[in-house]
Amino acid sequence: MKIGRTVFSIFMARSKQKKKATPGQEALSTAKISNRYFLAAYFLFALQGGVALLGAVDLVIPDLPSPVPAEYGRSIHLGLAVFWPLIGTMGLINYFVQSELQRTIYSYRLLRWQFWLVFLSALAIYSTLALGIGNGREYLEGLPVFYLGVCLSLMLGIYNLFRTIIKAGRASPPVVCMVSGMMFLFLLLLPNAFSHSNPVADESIRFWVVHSWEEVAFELTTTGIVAAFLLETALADRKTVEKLLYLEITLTTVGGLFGVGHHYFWLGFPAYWLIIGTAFSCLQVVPVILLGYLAYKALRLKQPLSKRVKLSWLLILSSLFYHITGAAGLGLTITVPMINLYMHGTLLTSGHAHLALFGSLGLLVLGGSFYCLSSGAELDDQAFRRGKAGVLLLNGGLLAMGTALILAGMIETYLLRVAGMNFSAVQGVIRPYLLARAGGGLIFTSGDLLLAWTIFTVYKGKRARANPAPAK
Amino acid sequence: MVWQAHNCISCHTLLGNGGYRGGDLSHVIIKGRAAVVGYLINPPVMLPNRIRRHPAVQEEEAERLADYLTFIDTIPTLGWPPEKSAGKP
Repeated sequence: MKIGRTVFSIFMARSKQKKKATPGQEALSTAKISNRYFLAAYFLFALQGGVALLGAVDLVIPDLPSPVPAEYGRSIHLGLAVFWPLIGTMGLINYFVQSELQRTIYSYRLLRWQFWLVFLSALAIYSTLALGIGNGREYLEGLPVFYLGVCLSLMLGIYNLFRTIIKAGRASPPVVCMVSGMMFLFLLLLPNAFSHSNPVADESIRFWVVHSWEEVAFELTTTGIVAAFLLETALADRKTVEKLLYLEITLTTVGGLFGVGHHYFWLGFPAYWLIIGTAFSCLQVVPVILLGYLAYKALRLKQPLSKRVKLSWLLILSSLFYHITGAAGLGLTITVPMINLYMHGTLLTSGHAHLALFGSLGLLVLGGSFYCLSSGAELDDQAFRRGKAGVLLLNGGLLAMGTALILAGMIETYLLRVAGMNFSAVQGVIRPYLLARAGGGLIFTSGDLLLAWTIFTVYKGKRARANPAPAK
Repeated sequence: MVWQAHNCISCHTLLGNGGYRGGDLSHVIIKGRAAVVGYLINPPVMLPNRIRRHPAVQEEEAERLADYLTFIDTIPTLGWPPEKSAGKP
């Protein structure tokens, strides 16, 4: 209850200052509003664990009653999977742009508007989907008007960031990286706020979010956030980071934008897209290797770290592990047209999506949000142990889910596409793997709730110390 | 459109994209238009359930969905899906 009240008071807190705020008050208001992004991300992340687990169980227990129509449960899971990392990323960009430029964000009022627009749009999508009202486009199942709300929020964010850069009179490479990512988030979502009647056009534009959000926009924001984190914690020197970052931005943008071609192989596009998609997908791996190199250099420093930074770094390192293995390695393997021809449309894609979307993006946002939200606080031994257990469970659960889905996908590919078995019969054969996936989901959700609990208690303690109760 | 309004993509794939629970329907129409419309109007129990049936639609909606699936069947997909049983639900 106390945690609930703390979260509620943060979300509802408004600046009562009517007069023009002083720089100190502005910084305080900005920090308060930024925290809302992180708390919202953790709250929606915890919710996603529960929703996804119910969906996984529904697949293996026949006739399981559900308050949400079965065909909309998956839509809510996908919607949550996209929007909590988006909200967390917005908060992280604000935090690290301020830290890089050494000044507060241009307008904390815009920051507040931006938050409420994206948060309420996301909530509206989940609520309407729970009632069976949607748009029937995978990953973008909500009503188009709500995506316009998200676009507006992104626009406000971009404007605020530009004004901040103009006021600061400079922009460092991590700032350029993060702001470019934010601009791509907006540009790639806007055409998807509308439906297109031709199914081939609709599918190809939909992949600007399904693929390009993840592999262009979020790839840029991730790189900028990791770079800014390494600089702030002195885990990297500015010269190395700045040297690599412009190369990262160029390769990510070019490789990612044209790499969308690997989703166009079997959509009704001409055959030369097989070459375009494969060639640019190979290019996409290079910036991931560069990011891995930055992390390797940071690890070699063997710098003593506080428990707070250590736990955040653990989450970010987990994210980089999945970035290299699940996203880049597995992603490139299944992009090869001869492999893709057989595995496309099987659970192998789902295994890749779990490792790439949650593994690389989700864990990064959790790590960054943890770092920012606990700023100014230190973890005691108990909180650190609890947090570490949460990270371990998340990784164990994710690896179990990913492995089960990949194995199920490989068996499905062979039985369906090579042995010629009927689809329904194949589902019976892979059921044990789906059960194992549900087990992995249970482990994952335990870690999800443990980590969310840890961050809420750390944050609550920080607030209690900042605002001590008046003596009786 | 009927496909979007009933959120069919959550369980089925079209051109390989969508949910993996109910199979790809890119070429399902080759089973015959009447069979597809009949399935949608009087849906059977979905395995492995014993009670839960496939969602039903009105006859007019089923006809429109059959039109849509007929169009999807004409999209050239460079040999995908490779299985011989493509089209079987």
